[in-house]
Amino acid sequence: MRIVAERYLILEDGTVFSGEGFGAPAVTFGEVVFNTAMAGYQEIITNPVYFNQIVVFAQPNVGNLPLHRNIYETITPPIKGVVVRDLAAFNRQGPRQVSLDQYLLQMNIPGVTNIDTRALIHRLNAAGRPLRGSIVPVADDHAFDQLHATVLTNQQVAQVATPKPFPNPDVGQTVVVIDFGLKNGILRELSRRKCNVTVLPFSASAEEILRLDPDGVVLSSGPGNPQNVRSSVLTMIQTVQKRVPLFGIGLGHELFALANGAKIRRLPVEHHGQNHPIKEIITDQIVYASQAEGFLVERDSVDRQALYVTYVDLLDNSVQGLRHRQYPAFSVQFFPDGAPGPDETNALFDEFMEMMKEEHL
Amino acid sequence: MTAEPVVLIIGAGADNLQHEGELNAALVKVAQALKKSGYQTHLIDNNPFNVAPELPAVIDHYSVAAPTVANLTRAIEQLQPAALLPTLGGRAALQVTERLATSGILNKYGVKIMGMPVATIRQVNNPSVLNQTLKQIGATTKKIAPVTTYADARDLVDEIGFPVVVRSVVPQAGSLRRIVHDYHELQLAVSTAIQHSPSHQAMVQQSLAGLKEIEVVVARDQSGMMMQLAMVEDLDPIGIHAGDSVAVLPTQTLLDRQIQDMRDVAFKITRKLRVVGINHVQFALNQLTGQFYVIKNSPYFDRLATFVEQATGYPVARVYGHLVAGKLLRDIRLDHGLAKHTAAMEPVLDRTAIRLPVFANDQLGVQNKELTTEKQSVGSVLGLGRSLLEALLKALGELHPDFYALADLGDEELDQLLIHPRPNRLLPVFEAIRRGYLTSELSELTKLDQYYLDQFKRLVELEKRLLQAPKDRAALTAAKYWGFSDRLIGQLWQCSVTELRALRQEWQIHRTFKEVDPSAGELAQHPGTYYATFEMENESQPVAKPRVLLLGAGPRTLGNGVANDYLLTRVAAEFKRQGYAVVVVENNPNSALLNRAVATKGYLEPRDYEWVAAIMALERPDYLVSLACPFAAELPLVKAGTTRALALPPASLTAPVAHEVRYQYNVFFDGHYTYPLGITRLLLTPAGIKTEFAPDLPAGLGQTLAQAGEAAVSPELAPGLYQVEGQLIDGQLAIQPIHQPAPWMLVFLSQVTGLDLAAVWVRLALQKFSGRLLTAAMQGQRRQATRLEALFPYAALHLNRSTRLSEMMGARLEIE
Repeated sequence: MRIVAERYLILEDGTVFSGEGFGAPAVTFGEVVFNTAMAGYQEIITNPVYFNQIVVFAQPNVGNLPLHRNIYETITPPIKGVVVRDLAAFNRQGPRQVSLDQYLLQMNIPGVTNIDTRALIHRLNAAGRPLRGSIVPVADDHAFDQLHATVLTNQQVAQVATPKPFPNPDVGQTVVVIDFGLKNGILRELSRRKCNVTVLPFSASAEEILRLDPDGVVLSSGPGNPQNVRSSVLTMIQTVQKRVPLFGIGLGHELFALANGAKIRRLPVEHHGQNHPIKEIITDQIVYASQAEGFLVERDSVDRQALYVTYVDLLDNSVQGLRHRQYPAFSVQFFPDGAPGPDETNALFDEFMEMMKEEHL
Repeated sequence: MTAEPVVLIIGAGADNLQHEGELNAALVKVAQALKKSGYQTHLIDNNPFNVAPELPAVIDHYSVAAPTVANLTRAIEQLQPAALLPTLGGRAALQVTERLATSGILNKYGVKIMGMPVATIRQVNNPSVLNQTLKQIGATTKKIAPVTTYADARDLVDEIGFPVVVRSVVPQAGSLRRIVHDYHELQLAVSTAIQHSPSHQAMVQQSLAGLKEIEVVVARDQSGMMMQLAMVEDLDPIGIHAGDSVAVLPTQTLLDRQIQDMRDVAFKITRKLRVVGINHVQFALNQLTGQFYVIKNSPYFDRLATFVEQATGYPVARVYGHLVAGKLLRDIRLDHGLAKHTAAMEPVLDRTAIRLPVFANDQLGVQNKELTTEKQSVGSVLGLGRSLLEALLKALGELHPDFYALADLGDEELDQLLIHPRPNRLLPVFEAIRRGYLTSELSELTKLDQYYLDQFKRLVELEKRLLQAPKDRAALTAAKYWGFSDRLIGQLWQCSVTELRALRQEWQIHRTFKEVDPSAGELAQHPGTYYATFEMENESQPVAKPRVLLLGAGPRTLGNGVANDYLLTRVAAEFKRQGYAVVVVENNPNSALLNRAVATKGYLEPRDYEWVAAIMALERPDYLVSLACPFAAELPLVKAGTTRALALPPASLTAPVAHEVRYQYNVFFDGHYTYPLGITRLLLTPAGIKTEFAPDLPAGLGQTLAQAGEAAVSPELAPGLYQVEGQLIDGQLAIQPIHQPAPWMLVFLSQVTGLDLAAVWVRLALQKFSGRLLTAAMQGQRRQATRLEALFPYAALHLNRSTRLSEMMGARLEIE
């Protein structure tokens, strides 16, 4: 039986939401963002993109299923808190019957349930800027002082990316994945296609990458502002894109855009979900994909000589995909690996495979 | 006549066990969208309770005729329509359309079929052809094969596993089916089946009973763009008809991987069948192996589509109208407070929605009937909440009198109810949890996912807490937060709902209202439909004055069918015409009232005291309008005189049980004058019930009846519609006391006289009635329809029963 204690989510604008605690009884700080996906809580909370963020689930019933061993997106999730309306009652026992509550306790992550998450989402929308929040046992002045005094790092990638290279061998094409906060979905898709993968830290130089003689390079997704990632990464991208096929995803897409002269803007309210219509310009078809966006490429800043836009989000007209005019390099803002989310853009990995094959000829 | 192309819409015909008004409600919205796209709408239908033709700017031309091949052929020859819409008439309309296509008439007049190509219609009408197509695209379906020997059967079973269903191959339908679980049973069943088959063949079929049922609704436009409108999970396993199952949206117990796999297959099928509009795909999912099977594909409008619409706030029917008219999802602009591009945005929920079937088995004298693959429920109710329990308890509100009725049941009897589920099967499940059954064990017995049982356990724990702490503020706060109704708490605390309302007010336990928006709060959208919960933020503000609060008719019941919904919809329309904002409270997802063109604002809530009182406190309506509101006098605002309660005249005479002929004089009385509406003859026989307008009468009878009727209207009577009945006994007309006719009769009279009797009633209530209106209208054209035949669910439920008016399920109109 879970021990129920009052717990609060406080926001830097002074708002207090009271609920019941679950998971770890830790006090944490983070930006508060909301996700409108209908399922897949495990993939969401284990996505490293949520480093230093507290995630609010719009869908009220969360934790209905036990954690499943095949679908983690990382080993140690860097998320700072989970906020839900209705944490599922869970009376299962036995192996492979770990509840969300138990898992968050193990991972030292706090959760709050019985929150008016819809009101909270309205609050986040109304603020028009990212709001920091804290999960606390007492919502007093001290808690607010602590929240206001907290400085969240702007070096998110350095906190979550691997410091050391590691291999993920297979028998197919050789791919280097640059880890900016890699989610397992990307590795899963490459494994499915038998890629012989080496994951390198984001600090890897073009020389170190090319020394492995890869057929292609993937720039992974990850947390935070791409403009705060060390500038050597941009130089690396500029060099590598000339030599081998390149595929950028999420933060990797933003960095690819920056490396090619585009500008990045911060969204006033982050968008996390999988229900926006995204138009593929070349086919004029609409697809759906998981999105976790805090930053977007400025459409007007895209250098049409170097890049062209491949996907746009119909709702806000934002750039969702880019392709280089000269080099075999492309990128998407969304997650083509799903996990969780639709498979419709999954074929982008096949496209990347084709690209690597062609470059070999 | 303008040059706008005509679309011929095939109506659904009489309501039956499969249709409970949802097609008519959808028709209104679809037709409005078609008109917006530049079509003239022509409807062929013979359902007297179809309100679509009566609403302004919906149906341009209405032919009262059964939607048969002959009638449609005639209509096509006369109208030469540009298009035919076969997807609002259920399966029957698709069968009719296939025959029309085969006859060549569609080609002859260049009539385009909306929604799907003919080839698809042929496949949908022929399951084995459809199965072939599904196989081609790699979708797994149930394995089925003929065998002639036990050895063949054993080989097949080795491949597909037990259990299997074995039946003999016989030319006629109705061969015996046996479900077998082991080789011994198989041997026996196969040899029996082969013996009974003239061709010495047995069919061995994989049984999917016990698997989880998942339903997906996909929208597709003519450019091929697809989106998932919803994925619905049925609590009850395969083996219980989806319409008799408790349905929940969004799915609660699926991994994202499973969701995406089923989505991919649903998209593939929809693309392959080239459906334009919506497609409803049903799956059976084996949770242990992850394997899933396509069990049904319905590319037409049905019950699920309306549930999805009300649960998500996504305007499924309106979008559907635009899609079949050829618009693309990305180009559809939705008004009614919805954001740009919402049509192309997959709906997401920040609420849980439950659809609960409503049964009439007690009324029909059917006891102990197990739930099977054949549908038994007659209606359904929707519950929306911010947690699974809240949504479920709201839907279960209709069952509150029976909630604790199983307390005295023996353990063995209870086990039987758990293993062999009957209507309202959740009540024994709750009882089992009260008695300490482990949820894991119960999951085995009931085939309900343990997730649900664990949530039900929380419900039982809350009950215990309430029992242990009578009149305790914290217990009440918790119970309300998780969705307990005042009725349930009242049963546990032995107090009335008015007392509980007072306690809640004293303790500041306030209900708040949330808007049903399809983006889960991401976008600022205001579709104007709300539901209640107990949280911080309230989103509902009163609508502009003057306003009425209209209580919907609730789930369909036997007796009036959806006539109540028809009348209330016309009442709403008239109030709007009179300049009132109409606020509706309704929990039947299939109601025609749930349409922003009909009502200004909607609350998807139970129509019981506690909700009505709360909504009234917020809206402060000038009028409270209902068919009957037993607690009206107890409502604070009615007591205070702020709100006037108006109830449509109840049928003051209990429906006749005897089988006989009754002559009825129908008259409208405005308090001063009488307006005769004509004579009807009610024919009650064990085989059927019919009523006929302006029948041929024995000489002199009409005059005698009219005199008696006029005499029976005394000045003390309240204004309204009255009926004076007479029976011929030994050649003499025996006159019964004057009474007010039942709602279905009001509908019939409205149709045959062409008078909007609902509007007349509204005007009377508003004191805006003028006899001149009625006289003028009556001199106008009358409808040709002369007979209404009542229809009953007996055959569908395998009941051998003589007809009773109180068990009418639907009706059809006949024209001389």
